[in-house]
Amino acid sequence: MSSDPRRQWPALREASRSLLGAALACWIAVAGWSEAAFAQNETVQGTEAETIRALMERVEALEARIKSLEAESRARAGEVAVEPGARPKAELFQTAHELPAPAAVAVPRLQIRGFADVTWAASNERGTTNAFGLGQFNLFVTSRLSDRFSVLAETVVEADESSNQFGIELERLFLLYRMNDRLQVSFGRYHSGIGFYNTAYHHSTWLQTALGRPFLFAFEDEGGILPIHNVGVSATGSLPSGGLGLHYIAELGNGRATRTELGQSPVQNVSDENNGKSFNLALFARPSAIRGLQFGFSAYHDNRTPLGQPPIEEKIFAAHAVYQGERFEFLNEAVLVRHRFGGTILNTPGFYTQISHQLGPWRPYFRYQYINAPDREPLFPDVRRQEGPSLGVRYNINDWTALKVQYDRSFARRKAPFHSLGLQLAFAF
Amino acid sequence: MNRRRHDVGAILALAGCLWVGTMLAAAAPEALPGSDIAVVVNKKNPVENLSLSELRRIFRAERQFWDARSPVLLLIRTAGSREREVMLRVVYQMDEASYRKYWVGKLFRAEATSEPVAVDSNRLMNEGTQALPNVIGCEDAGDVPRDLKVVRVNGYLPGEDAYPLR
Repeated sequence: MSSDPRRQWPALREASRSLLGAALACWIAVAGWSEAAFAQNETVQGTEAETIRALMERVEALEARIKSLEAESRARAGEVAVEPGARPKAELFQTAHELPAPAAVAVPRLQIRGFADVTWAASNERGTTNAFGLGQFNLFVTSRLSDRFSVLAETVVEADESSNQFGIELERLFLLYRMNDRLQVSFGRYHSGIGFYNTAYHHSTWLQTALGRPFLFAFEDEGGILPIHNVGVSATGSLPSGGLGLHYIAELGNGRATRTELGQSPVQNVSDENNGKSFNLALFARPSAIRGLQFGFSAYHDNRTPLGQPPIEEKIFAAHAVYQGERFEFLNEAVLVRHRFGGTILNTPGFYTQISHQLGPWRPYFRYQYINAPDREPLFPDVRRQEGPSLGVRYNINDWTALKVQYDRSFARRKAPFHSLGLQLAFAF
Repeated sequence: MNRRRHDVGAILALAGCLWVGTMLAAAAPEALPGSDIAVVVNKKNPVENLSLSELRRIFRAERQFWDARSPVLLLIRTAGSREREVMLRVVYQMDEASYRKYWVGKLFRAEATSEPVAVDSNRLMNEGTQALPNVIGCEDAGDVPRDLKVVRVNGYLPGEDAYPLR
Protein backbone atom coordinates (compact mmCIF):
# COMPACT_ATOMS: atom_id res chain seq x y z
CA MET A 1 0.00 0.00 0.00
CA SER A 2 1.28 3.55 -0.76
CA SER A 3 2.77 5.58 2.10
CA ASP A 4 0.82 8.64 0.98
CA PRO A 5 -2.18 8.76 3.31
CA ARG A 6 -4.30 10.49 0.66
CA ARG A 7 -4.02 7.43 -1.60
CA GLN A 8 -5.07 5.15 1.24
CA TRP A 9 -8.39 6.93 1.80
CA PRO A 10 -10.45 5.16 -0.92
CA ALA A 11 -9.38 1.72 0.26
CA LEU A 12 -10.00 2.63 3.88
CA ARG A 13 -13.39 4.01 2.96
CA GLU A 14 -14.30 0.78 1.22
CA ALA A 15 -13.10 -1.33 4.13
CA SER A 16 -14.92 0.75 6.71
CA ARG A 17 -18.13 0.55 4.62
CA SER A 18 -17.83 -3.20 4.61
CA LEU A 19 -17.28 -3.37 8.35
CA LEU A 20 -20.20 -1.04 9.02
CA GLY A 21 -22.46 -3.19 6.90
CA ALA A 22 -21.36 -6.35 8.72
CA ALA A 23 -21.91 -4.76 12.12
CA LEU A 24 -25.38 -3.57 11.12
CA ALA A 25 -26.31 -7.07 9.99
CA CYS A 26 -25.12 -8.56 13.28
CA TRP A 27 -27.20 -6.08 15.28
CA ILE A 28 -30.31 -6.80 13.20
CA ALA A 29 -29.84 -10.53 13.55
CA VAL A 30 -29.39 -10.44 17.33
CA ALA A 31 -32.37 -8.11 17.75
CA GLY A 32 -34.48 -10.41 15.65
CA TRP A 33 -33.37 -13.46 17.65
CA SER A 34 -34.78 -12.01 20.87
CA GLU A 35 -38.16 -11.41 19.19
CA ALA A 36 -38.50 -14.89 17.81
CA ALA A 37 -39.58 -16.69 21.02
CA PHE A 38 -42.22 -14.05 21.82
CA ALA A 39 -43.61 -14.16 18.30
CA GLN A 40 -43.83 -17.95 18.47
CA ASN A 41 -46.00 -17.78 21.66
CA GLU A 42 -48.43 -15.37 20.06
CA THR A 43 -48.62 -17.55 16.98
CA VAL A 44 -49.56 -20.65 19.05
CA GLN A 45 -52.52 -18.94 20.78
CA GLY A 46 -53.92 -17.56 17.54
CA THR A 47 -53.53 -20.90 15.86
CA GLU A 48 -55.60 -22.76 18.50
CA ALA A 49 -58.78 -20.79 17.75
CA GLU A 50 -58.28 -21.31 14.05
CA THR A 51 -57.77 -25.02 14.61
CA ILE A 52 -61.00 -25.37 16.57
CA ARG A 53 -62.96 -23.53 13.91
CA ALA A 54 -61.39 -25.62 11.16
CA LEU A 55 -62.19 -28.82 13.07
CA MET A 56 -65.87 -27.87 13.42
CA GLU A 57 -66.09 -27.18 9.72
CA ARG A 58 -64.42 -30.48 9.05
CA VAL A 59 -66.95 -32.36 11.22
CA GLU A 60 -69.82 -30.91 9.24
CA ALA A 61 -68.22 -31.80 5.93
CA LEU A 62 -67.44 -35.32 7.07
CA GLU A 63 -70.96 -35.94 8.33
CA ALA A 64 -72.21 -35.06 4.87
CA ARG A 65 -69.60 -37.37 3.39
CA ILE A 66 -70.66 -40.27 5.63
CA LYS A 67 -74.24 -39.91 4.51
CA SER A 68 -73.06 -40.08 0.92
CA LEU A 69 -70.93 -43.17 1.65
CA GLU A 70 -73.82 -44.89 3.42
CA ALA A 71 -76.02 -44.25 0.42
CA GLU A 72 -73.40 -45.71 -1.92
CA SER A 73 -72.98 -48.72 0.35
CA ARG A 74 -76.71 -49.37 0.39
CA ALA A 75 -76.85 -49.05 -3.38
CA ARG A 76 -73.97 -51.49 -3.78
CA ALA A 77 -75.57 -53.96 -1.38
CA GLY A 78 -78.70 -53.83 -3.48
CA GLU A 79 -76.65 -54.51 -6.64
CA VAL A 80 -74.86 -57.54 -5.20
CA ALA A 81 -77.97 -59.07 -3.64
CA VAL A 82 -78.13 -62.48 -5.30
CA GLU A 83 -79.97 -65.67 -4.63
CA PRO A 84 -78.38 -67.90 -1.99
CA GLY A 85 -75.87 -70.25 -3.59
CA ALA A 86 -75.66 -68.30 -6.85
CA ARG A 87 -72.28 -67.09 -8.02
CA PRO A 88 -71.84 -63.30 -7.89
CA LYS A 89 -71.78 -61.53 -11.23
CA ALA A 90 -68.23 -61.16 -12.51
CA GLU A 91 -68.55 -57.47 -13.32
CA LEU A 92 -69.51 -56.45 -9.80
CA PHE A 93 -66.11 -57.11 -8.29
CA GLN A 94 -62.82 -58.61 -9.32
CA THR A 95 -60.96 -61.57 -7.90
CA ALA A 96 -59.28 -61.37 -4.53
CA HIS A 97 -56.05 -60.30 -6.24
CA GLU A 98 -57.48 -57.18 -7.81
CA LEU A 99 -59.28 -54.20 -6.44
CA PRO A 100 -62.72 -53.20 -7.67
CA ALA A 101 -62.74 -50.08 -9.81
CA PRO A 102 -63.48 -47.01 -7.68
CA ALA A 103 -66.89 -45.41 -7.77
CA ALA A 104 -67.14 -42.32 -9.98
CA VAL A 105 -67.30 -38.92 -8.30
CA ALA A 106 -70.84 -37.58 -8.58
CA VAL A 107 -70.03 -33.89 -9.12
CA PRO A 108 -66.78 -31.99 -9.66
CA ARG A 109 -65.20 -30.85 -6.39
CA LEU A 110 -63.76 -27.41 -6.92
CA GLN A 111 -61.19 -25.91 -4.59
CA ILE A 112 -59.96 -22.35 -4.73
CA ARG A 113 -56.79 -21.16 -3.13
CA GLY A 114 -55.19 -17.75 -3.40
CA PHE A 115 -51.68 -16.39 -3.28
CA ALA A 116 -50.52 -12.80 -3.30
CA ASP A 117 -47.80 -10.52 -2.07
CA VAL A 118 -47.08 -6.90 -1.30
CA THR A 119 -43.59 -5.53 -1.73
CA TRP A 120 -41.47 -2.50 -1.15
CA ALA A 121 -38.35 -2.13 -3.27
CA ALA A 122 -35.59 0.41 -3.50
CA SER A 123 -32.48 0.61 -5.61
CA ASN A 124 -29.74 3.08 -6.41
CA GLU A 125 -29.88 2.10 -10.08
CA ARG A 126 -30.06 5.22 -12.19
CA GLY A 127 -33.61 6.12 -13.17
CA THR A 128 -35.41 4.03 -10.53
CA THR A 129 -37.46 5.09 -7.55
CA ASN A 130 -38.44 3.26 -4.41
CA ALA A 131 -42.01 2.02 -4.43
CA PHE A 132 -44.57 -0.15 -2.76
CA GLY A 133 -46.03 -2.67 -5.16
CA LEU A 134 -48.76 -5.25 -5.46
CA GLY A 135 -47.38 -8.54 -6.60
CA GLN A 136 -49.26 -11.15 -8.54
CA PHE A 137 -52.74 -11.94 -7.23
CA ASN A 138 -53.01 -15.62 -8.00
CA LEU A 139 -56.32 -17.48 -8.00
CA PHE A 140 -55.42 -21.14 -8.01
CA VAL A 141 -58.34 -23.41 -8.83
CA THR A 142 -58.43 -27.20 -8.93
CA SER A 143 -61.36 -29.46 -9.50
CA ARG A 144 -61.59 -33.23 -9.42
CA LEU A 145 -63.93 -34.39 -12.13
CA SER A 146 -63.39 -38.08 -11.39
CA ASP A 147 -60.72 -40.31 -9.90
CA ARG A 148 -58.68 -39.86 -13.07
CA PHE A 149 -59.64 -36.47 -14.51
CA SER A 150 -59.05 -33.12 -12.88
CA VAL A 151 -58.71 -29.52 -13.92
CA LEU A 152 -56.14 -26.96 -12.84
CA ALA A 153 -56.42 -23.25 -13.54
CA GLU A 154 -54.17 -20.46 -12.39
CA THR A 155 -55.39 -16.94 -13.09
CA VAL A 156 -53.12 -14.05 -12.23
CA VAL A 157 -53.99 -10.40 -11.89
CA GLU A 158 -51.03 -8.07 -11.79
CA ALA A 159 -50.17 -4.48 -12.49
CA ASP A 160 -47.83 -3.50 -15.30
CA GLU A 161 -44.64 -1.92 -13.98
CA SER A 162 -44.61 0.92 -16.47
CA SER A 163 -48.29 1.81 -16.73
CA ASN A 164 -49.52 0.73 -13.26
CA GLN A 165 -52.58 -0.74 -14.99
CA PHE A 166 -53.91 -4.15 -14.01
CA GLY A 167 -54.00 -7.01 -16.47
CA ILE A 168 -55.35 -10.53 -16.18
CA GLU A 169 -53.71 -13.60 -17.61
CA LEU A 170 -54.59 -17.26 -17.56
CA GLU A 171 -51.16 -18.53 -16.63
CA ARG A 172 -52.09 -22.20 -16.48
CA LEU A 173 -55.19 -24.05 -17.59
CA PHE A 174 -55.21 -27.73 -18.32
CA LEU A 175 -57.22 -30.87 -18.12
CA LEU A 176 -55.22 -33.52 -16.33
CA TYR A 177 -55.70 -37.20 -17.02
CA ARG A 178 -54.02 -39.52 -14.55
CA MET A 179 -53.86 -43.00 -16.04
CA ASN A 180 -51.49 -44.51 -13.44
CA ASP A 181 -48.14 -43.76 -11.85
CA ARG A 182 -46.44 -44.22 -15.20
CA LEU A 183 -48.50 -41.78 -17.22
CA GLN A 184 -50.20 -38.50 -16.49
CA VAL A 185 -51.14 -36.21 -19.37
CA SER A 186 -52.04 -32.52 -19.29
CA PHE A 187 -53.84 -30.78 -22.14
CA GLY A 188 -53.72 -27.01 -22.21
CA ARG A 189 -51.37 -24.30 -21.01
CA TYR A 190 -48.70 -25.43 -18.59
CA HIS A 191 -45.30 -24.50 -17.21
CA SER A 192 -42.69 -26.12 -19.45
CA GLY A 193 -40.54 -28.78 -17.84
CA ILE A 194 -37.27 -26.98 -18.49
CA GLY A 195 -35.04 -27.38 -15.47
CA PHE A 196 -36.33 -27.52 -11.93
CA TYR A 197 -37.46 -24.08 -10.80
CA ASN A 198 -40.15 -23.64 -13.44
CA THR A 199 -42.17 -26.68 -12.42
CA ALA A 200 -41.36 -26.46 -8.71
CA TYR A 201 -42.50 -22.85 -8.32
CA HIS A 202 -45.20 -21.18 -10.35
CA HIS A 203 -46.96 -17.92 -9.63
CA SER A 204 -46.73 -17.79 -5.88
CA THR A 205 -44.00 -16.01 -3.97
CA TRP A 206 -45.25 -17.58 -0.72
CA LEU A 207 -44.04 -20.98 -1.86
CA GLN A 208 -40.61 -19.65 -2.80
CA THR A 209 -37.84 -19.07 -0.33
CA ALA A 210 -36.45 -15.94 -1.94
CA LEU A 211 -38.23 -12.73 -2.76
CA GLY A 212 -38.32 -13.42 -6.51
CA ARG A 213 -37.42 -15.91 -9.16
CA PRO A 214 -33.87 -16.22 -10.48
CA PHE A 215 -33.66 -13.96 -13.51
CA LEU A 216 -32.82 -17.03 -15.56
CA PHE A 217 -36.42 -18.17 -14.86
CA ALA A 218 -38.07 -14.77 -15.10
CA PHE A 219 -41.45 -14.77 -16.80
CA GLU A 220 -41.52 -13.96 -20.50
CA ASP A 221 -43.26 -10.62 -20.05
CA GLU A 222 -40.63 -9.62 -17.48
CA GLY A 223 -37.74 -10.12 -19.84
CA GLY A 224 -37.15 -13.80 -19.22
CA ILE A 225 -35.26 -15.70 -21.88
CA LEU A 226 -36.81 -19.13 -21.36
CA PRO A 227 -40.18 -20.40 -22.64
CA ILE A 228 -41.73 -20.54 -19.17
CA HIS A 229 -45.23 -21.26 -20.49
CA ASN A 230 -46.36 -23.40 -23.37
CA VAL A 231 -49.67 -24.50 -24.84
CA GLY A 232 -49.99 -28.09 -25.95
CA VAL A 233 -49.65 -31.49 -24.35
CA SER A 234 -47.42 -32.49 -21.47
CA ALA A 235 -46.90 -36.05 -20.28
CA THR A 236 -45.07 -37.16 -17.18
CA GLY A 237 -44.73 -40.23 -15.03
CA SER A 238 -42.37 -42.52 -13.20
CA LEU A 239 -40.10 -45.05 -14.87
CA PRO A 240 -39.26 -48.50 -13.48
CA SER A 241 -35.97 -47.74 -11.76
CA GLY A 242 -36.18 -49.09 -8.25
CA GLY A 243 -34.74 -46.80 -5.61
CA LEU A 244 -33.45 -44.33 -8.19
CA GLY A 245 -36.95 -42.88 -8.62
CA LEU A 246 -36.60 -41.96 -12.27
CA HIS A 247 -39.27 -39.74 -13.85
CA TYR A 248 -39.76 -38.38 -17.34
CA ILE A 249 -41.42 -35.35 -18.93
CA ALA A 250 -42.34 -35.19 -22.60
CA GLU A 251 -43.98 -32.08 -24.02
CA LEU A 252 -45.25 -30.89 -27.36
CA GLY A 253 -46.49 -27.34 -27.80
CA ASN A 254 -46.78 -24.18 -29.85
CA GLY A 255 -43.55 -22.79 -28.47
CA ARG A 256 -43.34 -19.03 -28.23
CA ALA A 257 -43.57 -16.18 -30.65
CA THR A 258 -40.50 -14.15 -31.46
CA ARG A 259 -39.73 -12.13 -28.39
CA THR A 260 -42.02 -9.14 -28.15
CA GLU A 261 -41.76 -5.89 -26.23
CA LEU A 262 -41.37 -6.09 -22.49
CA GLY A 263 -44.79 -6.39 -20.90
CA GLN A 264 -46.20 -8.43 -23.77
CA SER A 265 -46.28 -12.15 -23.48
CA PRO A 266 -44.90 -14.21 -26.38
CA VAL A 267 -46.88 -17.28 -25.32
CA GLN A 268 -48.85 -18.53 -28.31
CA ASN A 269 -52.19 -19.24 -26.71
CA VAL A 270 -54.40 -19.71 -29.76
CA SER A 271 -52.27 -19.44 -32.90
CA ASP A 272 -48.75 -20.40 -33.89
CA GLU A 273 -46.54 -18.17 -36.04
CA ASN A 274 -45.20 -21.27 -37.82
CA ASN A 275 -46.18 -24.87 -38.42
CA GLY A 276 -43.35 -26.23 -36.34
CA LYS A 277 -43.95 -27.31 -32.78
CA SER A 278 -41.67 -27.14 -29.81
CA PHE A 279 -40.82 -30.27 -27.93
CA ASN A 280 -39.14 -30.84 -24.61
CA LEU A 281 -37.80 -34.01 -23.02
CA ALA A 282 -36.65 -34.24 -19.45
CA LEU A 283 -35.44 -36.96 -17.12
CA PHE A 284 -35.01 -36.52 -13.41
CA ALA A 285 -34.33 -38.79 -10.48
CA ARG A 286 -35.58 -38.67 -6.90
CA PRO A 287 -33.57 -41.39 -5.15
CA SER A 288 -35.43 -42.83 -2.18
CA ALA A 289 -32.17 -43.25 -0.24
CA ILE A 290 -31.79 -39.47 0.07
CA ARG A 291 -35.24 -37.96 0.46
CA GLY A 292 -35.35 -34.44 -0.91
CA LEU A 293 -32.63 -34.94 -3.48
CA GLN A 294 -33.49 -34.47 -7.13
CA PHE A 295 -31.25 -34.22 -10.16
CA GLY A 296 -31.93 -34.28 -13.86
CA PHE A 297 -31.61 -32.66 -17.23
CA SER A 298 -33.84 -31.50 -20.06
CA ALA A 299 -33.54 -30.69 -23.75
CA TYR A 300 -35.91 -28.34 -25.57
CA HIS A 301 -36.17 -27.58 -29.27
CA ASP A 302 -38.13 -25.01 -31.24
CA ASN A 303 -37.91 -23.08 -34.51
CA ARG A 304 -38.38 -19.34 -34.23
CA THR A 305 -39.35 -17.25 -37.22
CA PRO A 306 -38.77 -13.54 -36.50
CA LEU A 307 -40.10 -11.14 -39.09
CA GLY A 308 -37.49 -9.90 -41.53
CA GLN A 309 -34.82 -12.23 -40.17
CA PRO A 310 -33.70 -15.74 -41.06
CA PRO A 311 -35.37 -18.51 -39.03
CA ILE A 312 -33.65 -19.40 -35.79
CA GLU A 313 -33.28 -22.89 -34.45
CA GLU A 314 -33.51 -22.77 -30.68
CA LYS A 315 -32.21 -25.44 -28.34
CA ILE A 316 -32.25 -25.16 -24.57
CA PHE A 317 -30.35 -27.56 -22.36
CA ALA A 318 -30.80 -27.53 -18.62
CA ALA A 319 -29.37 -29.51 -15.74
CA HIS A 320 -30.18 -29.35 -12.07
CA ALA A 321 -29.16 -30.86 -8.77
CA VAL A 322 -31.23 -29.80 -5.83
CA TYR A 323 -31.74 -30.86 -2.27
CA GLN A 324 -34.82 -29.74 -0.36
CA GLY A 325 -34.94 -31.14 3.11
CA GLU A 326 -37.19 -30.23 5.98
CA ARG A 327 -34.80 -27.47 7.04
CA PHE A 328 -31.94 -27.28 4.57
CA GLU A 329 -32.23 -26.35 0.92
CA PHE A 330 -29.56 -26.28 -1.75
CA LEU A 331 -30.61 -25.51 -5.33
CA ASN A 332 -28.33 -25.55 -8.35
CA GLU A 333 -29.31 -25.16 -11.97
CA ALA A 334 -27.48 -24.41 -15.20
CA VAL A 335 -29.05 -23.60 -18.55
CA LEU A 336 -27.62 -23.16 -22.03
CA VAL A 337 -29.73 -21.44 -24.70
CA ARG A 338 -28.35 -22.06 -28.17
CA HIS A 339 -29.54 -20.13 -31.21
CA ARG A 340 -28.50 -21.18 -34.66
CA PHE A 341 -29.25 -19.08 -37.72
CA GLY A 342 -27.45 -19.23 -41.02
CA GLY A 343 -23.96 -20.33 -40.19
CA THR A 344 -23.94 -18.63 -36.81
CA ILE A 345 -24.33 -20.28 -33.43
CA LEU A 346 -24.77 -18.11 -30.36
CA ASN A 347 -24.79 -19.54 -26.84
CA THR A 348 -26.29 -17.95 -23.76
CA PRO A 349 -25.24 -19.73 -20.58
CA GLY A 350 -26.77 -19.08 -17.21
CA PHE A 351 -26.89 -20.57 -13.75
CA TYR A 352 -27.96 -19.93 -10.21
CA THR A 353 -27.18 -21.47 -6.87
CA GLN A 354 -29.26 -20.98 -3.75
CA ILE A 355 -28.76 -22.16 -0.21
CA SER A 356 -30.97 -21.70 2.83
CA HIS A 357 -31.55 -23.16 6.26
CA GLN A 358 -34.66 -23.09 8.42
CA LEU A 359 -34.04 -22.00 12.01
CA GLY A 360 -37.32 -21.87 13.85
CA PRO A 361 -39.49 -19.41 11.93
CA TRP A 362 -36.44 -17.87 10.25
CA ARG A 363 -34.91 -18.98 6.99
CA PRO A 364 -31.82 -17.07 5.94
CA TYR A 365 -30.79 -17.62 2.36
CA PHE A 366 -28.15 -16.76 -0.17
CA ARG A 367 -28.36 -16.88 -3.96
CA TYR A 368 -25.86 -16.19 -6.68
CA GLN A 369 -27.00 -15.98 -10.28
CA TYR A 370 -25.40 -15.40 -13.64
CA ILE A 371 -26.51 -15.06 -17.24
CA ASN A 372 -24.42 -14.02 -20.21
CA ALA A 373 -26.12 -13.33 -23.55
CA PRO A 374 -23.94 -12.24 -26.46
CA ASP A 375 -24.39 -8.68 -27.68
CA ARG A 376 -25.30 -10.10 -31.12
CA GLU A 377 -28.06 -12.31 -29.67
CA PRO A 378 -30.95 -11.70 -32.09
CA LEU A 379 -33.90 -12.50 -29.81
CA PHE A 380 -32.90 -10.87 -26.50
CA PRO A 381 -30.08 -8.43 -27.23
CA ASP A 382 -30.86 -6.36 -24.11
CA VAL A 383 -30.07 -9.17 -21.64
CA ARG A 384 -26.26 -9.19 -22.05
CA ARG A 385 -24.37 -10.22 -18.93
CA GLN A 386 -26.09 -9.98 -15.58
CA GLU A 387 -24.92 -11.46 -12.32
CA GLY A 388 -24.80 -10.88 -8.65
CA PRO A 389 -25.44 -12.17 -5.16
CA SER A 390 -28.63 -11.92 -3.15
CA LEU A 391 -28.78 -12.21 0.58
CA GLY A 392 -31.99 -12.39 2.52
CA VAL A 393 -34.04 -13.84 5.29
CA ARG A 394 -37.57 -15.19 5.32
CA TYR A 395 -39.57 -15.01 8.53
CA ASN A 396 -42.75 -17.12 8.80
CA ILE A 397 -45.17 -14.90 10.71
CA ASN A 398 -47.62 -17.79 10.74
CA ASP A 399 -48.23 -20.88 8.62
CA TRP A 400 -49.57 -18.82 5.73
CA THR A 401 -47.76 -15.50 5.87
CA ALA A 402 -44.11 -14.79 5.35
CA LEU A 403 -42.02 -11.64 5.55
CA LYS A 404 -38.91 -11.53 3.40
CA VAL A 405 -36.08 -9.04 3.40
CA GLN A 406 -33.57 -9.29 0.59
CA TYR A 407 -30.51 -7.37 -0.46
CA ASP A 408 -29.19 -7.66 -4.04
CA ARG A 409 -25.96 -6.55 -5.55
CA SER A 410 -26.23 -6.46 -9.32
CA PHE A 411 -23.55 -6.28 -11.98
CA ALA A 412 -24.27 -5.98 -15.68
CA ARG A 413 -22.28 -5.37 -18.81
CA ARG A 414 -22.20 -1.70 -19.76
CA LYS A 415 -24.09 -0.71 -16.64
CA ALA A 416 -22.88 0.58 -13.33
CA PRO A 417 -23.31 -1.87 -10.46
CA PHE A 418 -26.16 -1.08 -8.13
CA HIS A 419 -27.65 -2.10 -4.80
CA SER A 420 -31.25 -3.13 -4.21
CA LEU A 421 -33.26 -3.75 -1.10
CA GLY A 422 -36.64 -5.43 -1.07
CA LEU A 423 -39.26 -6.25 1.54
CA GLN A 424 -42.11 -8.60 0.78
CA LEU A 425 -45.16 -9.87 2.59
CA ALA A 426 -46.14 -13.09 0.82
CA PHE A 427 -49.28 -14.96 1.83
CA ALA A 428 -51.58 -17.79 0.90
CA PHE A 429 -55.32 -17.85 1.60
CA MET B 1 -12.43 -5.42 -9.82
CA ASN B 2 -11.13 -4.41 -6.34
CA ARG B 3 -14.48 -2.80 -5.64
CA ARG B 4 -16.28 -5.96 -6.60
CA ARG B 5 -14.03 -8.01 -4.32
CA HIS B 6 -14.82 -5.66 -1.44
CA ASP B 7 -18.53 -5.88 -2.16
CA VAL B 8 -18.56 -9.66 -2.39
CA GLY B 9 -16.43 -9.88 0.75
CA ALA B 10 -18.84 -7.61 2.59
CA ILE B 11 -21.78 -9.66 1.45
CA LEU B 12 -20.14 -12.85 2.67
CA ALA B 13 -19.46 -11.16 6.00
CA LEU B 14 -23.12 -10.17 6.19
CA ALA B 15 -24.10 -13.75 5.42
CA GLY B 16 -21.88 -15.03 8.21
CA CYS B 17 -23.38 -12.63 10.72
CA LEU B 18 -26.91 -13.59 9.76
CA TRP B 19 -26.13 -17.27 10.26
CA VAL B 20 -24.70 -16.60 13.73
CA GLY B 21 -27.45 -14.20 14.73
CA THR B 22 -30.38 -16.45 13.81
CA MET B 23 -29.13 -19.73 15.35
CA LEU B 24 -32.32 -21.02 16.94
CA ALA B 25 -32.42 -24.72 17.39
CA ALA B 26 -35.98 -25.96 16.81
CA ALA B 27 -36.46 -28.90 19.14
CA ALA B 28 -37.94 -31.99 17.52
CA PRO B 29 -41.43 -32.70 18.88
CA GLU B 30 -41.42 -35.23 21.67
CA ALA B 31 -43.27 -38.46 21.00
CA LEU B 32 -46.57 -38.76 22.87
CA PRO B 33 -47.10 -41.95 24.86
CA GLY B 34 -49.65 -44.41 23.53
CA SER B 35 -50.16 -47.66 21.62
CA ASP B 36 -48.95 -48.46 18.14
CA ILE B 37 -50.59 -46.95 15.09
CA ALA B 38 -51.92 -49.53 12.67
CA VAL B 39 -52.03 -49.05 8.92
CA VAL B 40 -55.39 -50.33 7.72
CA VAL B 41 -56.86 -51.17 4.34
CA ASN B 42 -60.04 -52.70 3.07
CA LYS B 43 -60.11 -56.51 3.17
CA LYS B 44 -60.41 -56.56 -0.63
CA ASN B 45 -57.03 -54.85 -0.93
CA PRO B 46 -54.39 -57.54 -1.63
CA VAL B 47 -51.60 -55.57 0.09
CA GLU B 48 -50.20 -57.47 3.06
CA ASN B 49 -46.91 -55.79 3.82
CA LEU B 50 -45.34 -52.43 3.03
CA SER B 51 -41.86 -51.27 3.77
CA LEU B 52 -41.66 -48.00 5.66
CA SER B 53 -40.13 -46.47 2.55
CA GLU B 54 -43.07 -47.60 0.43
CA LEU B 55 -45.52 -46.43 3.06
CA ARG B 56 -43.91 -43.00 2.88
CA ARG B 57 -44.21 -42.99 -0.89
CA ILE B 58 -47.89 -43.79 -0.65
CA PHE B 59 -48.76 -41.22 2.00
CA ARG B 60 -46.68 -38.58 0.29
CA ALA B 61 -48.54 -39.27 -2.97
CA GLU B 62 -45.34 -40.29 -4.72
CA ARG B 63 -47.14 -43.51 -5.49
CA GLN B 64 -50.78 -42.84 -6.26
CA PHE B 65 -52.01 -46.13 -7.65
CA TRP B 66 -52.33 -49.56 -6.09
CA ASP B 67 -52.13 -51.15 -9.53
CA ALA B 68 -52.77 -50.10 -13.10
CA ARG B 69 -56.45 -49.38 -12.38
CA SER B 70 -56.93 -48.37 -8.78
CA PRO B 71 -55.95 -44.97 -7.38
CA VAL B 72 -54.96 -44.75 -3.74
CA LEU B 73 -57.27 -42.82 -1.43
CA LEU B 74 -55.52 -41.54 1.70
CA LEU B 75 -57.21 -41.10 5.05
CA ILE B 76 -55.46 -39.50 7.98
CA ARG B 77 -56.60 -38.29 11.37
CA THR B 78 -57.09 -34.62 12.05
CA ALA B 79 -54.54 -32.44 13.77
CA GLY B 80 -54.19 -32.97 17.51
CA SER B 81 -54.63 -36.74 17.42
CA ARG B 82 -51.94 -39.19 18.39
CA GLU B 83 -52.35 -40.99 15.05
CA ARG B 84 -51.57 -37.79 13.22
CA GLU B 85 -48.62 -37.04 15.46
CA VAL B 86 -47.08 -40.46 14.79
CA MET B 87 -47.73 -40.25 11.07
CA LEU B 88 -46.15 -36.81 10.82
CA ARG B 89 -43.15 -37.83 12.89
CA VAL B 90 -42.46 -41.27 11.43
CA VAL B 91 -43.96 -41.38 7.96
CA TYR B 92 -43.98 -37.79 6.75
CA GLN B 93 -41.04 -36.62 8.90
CA MET B 94 -42.58 -33.16 9.03
CA ASP B 95 -44.24 -30.88 11.50
CA GLU B 96 -47.83 -29.73 11.01
CA ALA B 97 -46.95 -26.52 9.18
CA SER B 98 -44.59 -28.29 6.81
CA TYR B 99 -47.23 -30.95 6.19
CA ARG B 100 -49.77 -28.35 5.12
CA LYS B 101 -47.25 -26.56 2.96
CA TYR B 102 -46.19 -29.88 1.44
CA TRP B 103 -49.72 -30.54 0.19
CA VAL B 104 -50.21 -27.02 -1.05
CA GLY B 105 -47.05 -27.45 -3.08
CA LYS B 106 -48.13 -30.86 -4.33
CA LEU B 107 -51.45 -29.52 -5.58
CA PHE B 108 -49.77 -26.42 -6.98
CA ARG B 109 -47.40 -28.52 -9.05
CA ALA B 110 -50.26 -30.81 -10.13
CA GLU B 111 -48.39 -33.74 -8.59
CA ALA B 112 -51.54 -34.68 -6.68
CA THR B 113 -55.20 -33.88 -7.18
CA SER B 114 -56.15 -33.82 -3.51
CA GLU B 115 -54.58 -34.03 -0.11
CA PRO B 116 -55.37 -36.84 2.33
CA VAL B 117 -58.88 -36.73 3.72
CA ALA B 118 -58.67 -35.87 7.41
CA VAL B 119 -61.18 -37.63 9.66
CA ASP B 120 -61.66 -36.66 13.27
CA SER B 121 -62.37 -40.09 14.73
CA ASN B 122 -61.32 -43.70 14.29
CA ARG B 123 -64.98 -44.56 13.81
CA LEU B 124 -64.96 -42.45 10.64
CA MET B 125 -61.62 -43.95 9.67
CA ASN B 126 -63.14 -47.44 9.95
CA GLU B 127 -66.29 -46.54 8.08
CA GLY B 128 -64.33 -44.92 5.26
CA THR B 129 -61.95 -47.85 4.94
CA GLN B 130 -64.78 -50.36 5.01
CA ALA B 131 -66.80 -48.50 2.40
CA LEU B 132 -64.08 -47.72 -0.14
CA PRO B 133 -61.70 -50.49 -1.23
CA ASN B 134 -58.92 -48.11 -2.32
CA VAL B 135 -58.51 -46.45 1.05
CA ILE B 136 -55.42 -46.70 3.21
CA GLY B 137 -55.66 -45.19 6.65
CA CYS B 138 -54.03 -45.16 10.03
CA GLU B 139 -55.46 -45.52 13.51
CA ASP B 140 -54.78 -46.73 17.01
CA ALA B 141 -54.19 -50.47 16.77
CA GLY B 142 -56.72 -51.05 19.53
CA ASP B 143 -59.52 -49.50 17.47
CA VAL B 144 -59.18 -51.64 14.36
CA PRO B 145 -62.31 -53.75 13.78
CA ARG B 146 -62.11 -57.33 12.59
CA ASP B 147 -63.39 -56.55 9.11
CA LEU B 148 -60.39 -54.37 8.25
CA LYS B 149 -56.97 -55.61 7.31
CA VAL B 150 -53.90 -54.44 9.20
CA VAL B 151 -50.92 -54.04 6.92
CA ARG B 152 -47.51 -55.14 8.11
CA VAL B 153 -44.88 -52.42 8.05
CA ASN B 154 -41.35 -53.66 7.39
CA GLY B 155 -42.82 -57.12 8.02
CA TYR B 156 -44.03 -56.30 11.53
CA LEU B 157 -47.46 -55.95 13.06
CA PRO B 158 -48.44 -53.46 15.76
CA GLY B 159 -47.25 -54.63 19.13
CA GLU B 160 -44.12 -56.31 17.82
CA ASP B 161 -40.85 -54.83 19.02
CA ALA B 162 -39.57 -53.59 15.68
CA TYR B 163 -42.86 -52.11 14.53
CA PRO B 164 -41.99 -48.52 13.54
CA LEU B 165 -45.24 -46.56 13.92
CA ARG B 166 -45.24 -45.68 17.58
